[in-house]
Amino acid sequence: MQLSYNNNRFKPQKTSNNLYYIFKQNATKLSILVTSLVVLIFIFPQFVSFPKLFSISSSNVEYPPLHGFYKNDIITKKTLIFPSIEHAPLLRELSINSLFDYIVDQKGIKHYKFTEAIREEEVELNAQLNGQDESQTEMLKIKNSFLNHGKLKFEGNTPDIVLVTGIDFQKYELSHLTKIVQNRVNYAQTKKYGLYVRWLQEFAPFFETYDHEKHKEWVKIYLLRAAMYAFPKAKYFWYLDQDALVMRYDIDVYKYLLDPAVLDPIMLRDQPIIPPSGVIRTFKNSKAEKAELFLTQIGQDLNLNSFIIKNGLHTKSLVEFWGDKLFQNYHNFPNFAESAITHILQWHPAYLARTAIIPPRTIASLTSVIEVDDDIHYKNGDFIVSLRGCDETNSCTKEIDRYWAIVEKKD
Amino acid sequence: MAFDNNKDIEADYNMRGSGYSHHATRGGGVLNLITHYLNKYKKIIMGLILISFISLFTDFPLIPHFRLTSPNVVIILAANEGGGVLKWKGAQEWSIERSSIANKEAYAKKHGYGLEVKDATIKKRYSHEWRESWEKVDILKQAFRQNPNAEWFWWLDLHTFIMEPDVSLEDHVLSQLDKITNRQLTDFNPLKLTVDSEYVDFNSPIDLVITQDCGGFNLGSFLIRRSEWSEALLDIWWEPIFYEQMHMVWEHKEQDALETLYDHFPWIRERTAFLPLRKINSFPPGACSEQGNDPRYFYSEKDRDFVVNMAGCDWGRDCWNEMEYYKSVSKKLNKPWYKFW
Repeated sequence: MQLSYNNNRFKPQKTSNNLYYIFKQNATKLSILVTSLVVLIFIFPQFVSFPKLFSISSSNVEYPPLHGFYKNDIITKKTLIFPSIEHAPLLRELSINSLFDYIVDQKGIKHYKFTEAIREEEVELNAQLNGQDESQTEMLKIKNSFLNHGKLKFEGNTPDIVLVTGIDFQKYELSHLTKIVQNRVNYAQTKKYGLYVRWLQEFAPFFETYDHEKHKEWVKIYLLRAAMYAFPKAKYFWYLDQDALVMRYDIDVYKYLLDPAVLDPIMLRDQPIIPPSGVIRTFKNSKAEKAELFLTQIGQDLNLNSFIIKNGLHTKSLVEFWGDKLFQNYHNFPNFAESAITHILQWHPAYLARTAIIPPRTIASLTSVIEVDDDIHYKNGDFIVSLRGCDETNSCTKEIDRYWAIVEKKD
Repeated sequence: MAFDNNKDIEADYNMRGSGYSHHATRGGGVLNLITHYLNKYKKIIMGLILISFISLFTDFPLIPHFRLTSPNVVIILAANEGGGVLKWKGAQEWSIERSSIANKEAYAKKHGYGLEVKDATIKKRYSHEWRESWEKVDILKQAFRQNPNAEWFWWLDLHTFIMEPDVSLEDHVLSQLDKITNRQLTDFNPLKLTVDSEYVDFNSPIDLVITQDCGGFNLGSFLIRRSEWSEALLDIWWEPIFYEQMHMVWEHKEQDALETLYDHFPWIRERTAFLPLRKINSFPPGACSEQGNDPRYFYSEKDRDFVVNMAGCDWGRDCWNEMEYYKSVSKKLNKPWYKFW
C-alpha cells in the first residue's frame, strides 16, 4: 500500500509542474542565455559543427547501365543455356576464320573482331536473291546462332548453383560433345541447377591475337566471368571442364560439399599451395563460412578441371584479375591459368584467406585405367571424374565413352 | 561495426531497464532529492550544461572538446618523403615538414579527425627492381589496421597545404559524393583510356575518390573507404608479375599501376570516382606548367580552393618558398575579424 502511495505522490505530472515553475521564475535569465547562445553561434558559425541529420545527395551524371561484352543481351527464362551441339560439324568446317571478321596485320597475324550477327530478315532476303541456295542459308543461320549465343542472359527465379562448361568443336566430334553436354543437362535437370555452356571459340575476339591452343586455357576464366554476368543472382558457379563427367546425378553439391558445416571438417588447412614443400600454405584457422574459392590439387598443381567459386565481390575481382593480359603474356607460366592462380594465392592473402583446398576425390577424381585405391583416382561411386591429362595420352574420347557408359547404365 | 552498435544499444536498453525498476521501488525519494538539488544548484548546473554543449557540438576556442566517437575520418600524411639514406635533410626541409604537419594537425583537431603521420623514408625494401616506391600501399594497409573504426582515409602528400581549415571534409566532399564526382572519364580523360567498359555496375558504392592532373591520375591527395573492395585493391596493387613487366613503363609507380588496374579491371572502375582536381588537389602554377592557361588545374584565391598540392616542387622548384607562400595566403584568407595583428 505504501508503495502505491509513494507513486501517487510523485506522479510525473507533479514534477513537470515543478519544473514549469522553475522555468517561469527564471524566464528572463533563460531567455538571455538562449539569445546569447544564438548570437554566439551567429557570430562564429565556423565553430559550430552539428551532426548532419540529412545528407541528400543524388548524382547529376547519367551512367550507362551494367552491360556485358555485347551491345545487347538476349533475355531467356531457360535455366539451361547451351549452344546447338548439332552445329559442331559445320562450325568446324567454317572454322574461326569465317566465323569472325578479322584484320591481318603486317606480320600476318590475325586479329579477330567482335562480329555482329546478320539479321534474320537479311538471311531470308539473301536466300531469295541467290536463288534459294539452302546450304548457304543454313551456314548463315549456324553462324548467326554461334555469334548470338554469348548474348543469352538468364532472368527469373534463379538457380543457386550454375554449372559452367566450355566446349570445343575442334577437339571433339559431335557424338562426344553430345555426351558431354547431355551429362550436364541430365545432372542439372535432376538437381534444378543452372547450366551455362559456350563454345570456347566464341572468345577469340576477347584476345588481341587468338591462338586456340595457347589461349583455350585462359578462356575458362573469361567464360566464368561471362557466366557470372548471365546468372547475376546465382550463389555458386562450378566450372566443370569438358574433360570431366558427373558420375552421380543424385548428389546435391551444396549438401555434399559447400555447406560450411560439411566443408569445415574436410577443408585442408595449413596445406602448401605447391605440395609437398611450398612455403605458402592455406591458413591454419580459416573458417569454412568464409570460403569463396573451392579448389583441388593434383601433384604440384591446382586442378582447374573442376572448381567452384561463390558469387561475390571478391570472386568477381579475382576472376577479372586472374584472366589479365599481363598474366597471359608472362613467359614463366607453363600451365597458363593454373600457374596464374598458383601465383595469385601465394602473393595475395586476401584471396588465399577465401580459398578452401579440398581433397581431390570430392569434385575431381582422376581417371585411371585400372582401379587404384588411393585418395586421388576415381573409384566406383565417386561424384566427378576428371579426365585431366587425356590429351597427352590421346584417350579423351575413349574415356568419355567408357565413363558415359557407366553413368548412363547405372541411372 | 554493426554488431558493436547492436551491443551498445543493448547495453543502453539494459541500463534503462534497471533504472526503471529502481524507480518503481523507491523512485519517489530519489526524484525528490534530484529536484531539490536541481533547485539548489541550478546556476552551476546550467553553466555545466552550457559548457558541455559548447564542448560537444562546437569548435569554440578555449574550451576542451570531447568527441564521443572515435574518428570516422583519418588523415594520412606521408612525412620524410625521399629522406633517409640518400641525403641529410636541410633546414628548409625540416621547416616544410613542420609546417605541413602543423597544418594537418590543426585541421584534424578542429574537425575531430584522426591523423597518422607516416614515415616514408627510402628503404631498401622499396628500392629499384625490388619494390620501388610502393610505400603508399603498405602505409595505407597499416593505417587501416591501426584505425579499425575509421571509415574514410584521406591520403595527403607532404607537400600539400590545407588552405581552408574551417571547411570540413564531410561538407566539402563526403556528404555529396554522388553529386560532385564523375565515375566515368567522360569529362576529363588525359590518358585517353576507354570510357565505357563491360561488367561495370555504377549502382555500387564509391570506395575510392581520386583526381586527375594534366598527366593522368594524381595520388597526392585522395580518399579511400574501408571496405572489402579496398582490401582487395590494396592486396593486388602490388603485383610482382605486373611489376616485372611494367616497371619500365610505370614511371610514377603506384600511381601508374592504379591507372593500369583501372584500365584492365571492371571491378576497379566500378567503385572509383573522380573529383575535379581543384576540389581537393589544386596545383601551384609550377606544376603542369605547360598547361598554364587551363583554369582546371591551378589554385585560385578567389574561389577559395580547399587544398594546394605543390606537386613536383622538389624537381627544380623551391618547395620551401611555395609552402611559405601558401601558408601566408591561407592565413590571410582565414583571418578572424577579432584578430587585428
